[in-house]
Amino acid sequence: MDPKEYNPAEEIHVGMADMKVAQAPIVLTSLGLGSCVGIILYYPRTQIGGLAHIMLPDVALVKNRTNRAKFANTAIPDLLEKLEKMGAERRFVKAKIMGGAHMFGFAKTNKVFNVGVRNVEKVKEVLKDLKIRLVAEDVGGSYGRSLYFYLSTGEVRVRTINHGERII
Amino acid sequence: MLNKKIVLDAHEKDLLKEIANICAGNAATSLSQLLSKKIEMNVPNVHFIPISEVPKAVGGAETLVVSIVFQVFGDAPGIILLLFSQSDARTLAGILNGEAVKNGVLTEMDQSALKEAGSILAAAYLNTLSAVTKIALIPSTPGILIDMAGALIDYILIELSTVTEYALLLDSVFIDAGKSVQGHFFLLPNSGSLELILKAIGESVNGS
Repeated sequence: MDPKEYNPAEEIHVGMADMKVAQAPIVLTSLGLGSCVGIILYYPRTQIGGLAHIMLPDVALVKNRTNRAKFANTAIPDLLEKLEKMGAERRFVKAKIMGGAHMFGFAKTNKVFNVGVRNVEKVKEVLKDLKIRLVAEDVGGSYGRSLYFYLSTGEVRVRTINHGERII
Repeated sequence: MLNKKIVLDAHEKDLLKEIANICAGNAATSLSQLLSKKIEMNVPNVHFIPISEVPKAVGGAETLVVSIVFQVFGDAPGIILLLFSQSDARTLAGILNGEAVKNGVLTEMDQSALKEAGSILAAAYLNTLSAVTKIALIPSTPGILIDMAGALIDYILIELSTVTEYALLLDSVFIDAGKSVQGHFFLLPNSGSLELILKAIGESVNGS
């Protein structure tokens, strides 16, 4: 099916520093991720899954901690908990991660770090700690991505500008 | 500052629009001098919008935008963004380089011309704003980013670690011999800077 033919009512948008869970045939989307990372968790048996759109790696490094969906090490456990409450068994939950770009092209500021890379590293570490299998990733580069997570199949369509489109 | 709505009354809005048009006039004069031809600029509208709605203002998070980015240093630090659609960026690059408008990607030369024009605009706007508010505002060298509008906002909020809630959007139109280019000029003051600027504008008016 042409993805454009999906009824828009079936798409749920997940904004920056937000997370959503849903069941098939819903499509969870996040548009225009740069150094943010999109993490999807999927439980195939009942076709439920969630998408978290995190901005920063570690909640411990900031003062304002009100939004747990903003950080890798709070968003992923929360997302998993939501799925478990919906009946998912952790050992069958699969993860895919997308984003974590480094949008250079601007005169570098004095900070010699790369948030995109740090986000991806932290996300992987958290998944490992939670013993969730990471089955696919589309990370890095220096370009933005849009994600469409199809809960009926568990597939994620990654759209970019000038860097192609793929399904992982 | 957090979650506080910024609502401008009609008077403040007129005031900002007036200042924006003075900025645009100065910017147009600078551009005209550089190019030795008459460039007109005007600002038909100004709005304050939450930063999360910046992509919506330019067509959505997935929309390809050409953006010239400046950091603002001084007493009220922040970010300046100049956004164009790809076709408008090409038209503007054509005007700047004195070439016919082409299709296809923006060349290095085009990007360089856009950055140069962006610098002139940013300097003209900030100088005017500084003069009105008596706040020192200095632009950095420009950067150019051609990607999805959403990714650009990620970049500003995360990689530049900008703490900001609101963007001041000045719709700007450039006109050269009938060719018009629509640009979106955003000023993203860091938290604190915005109040400083609004207060200074208010004082400058009430005091005069």
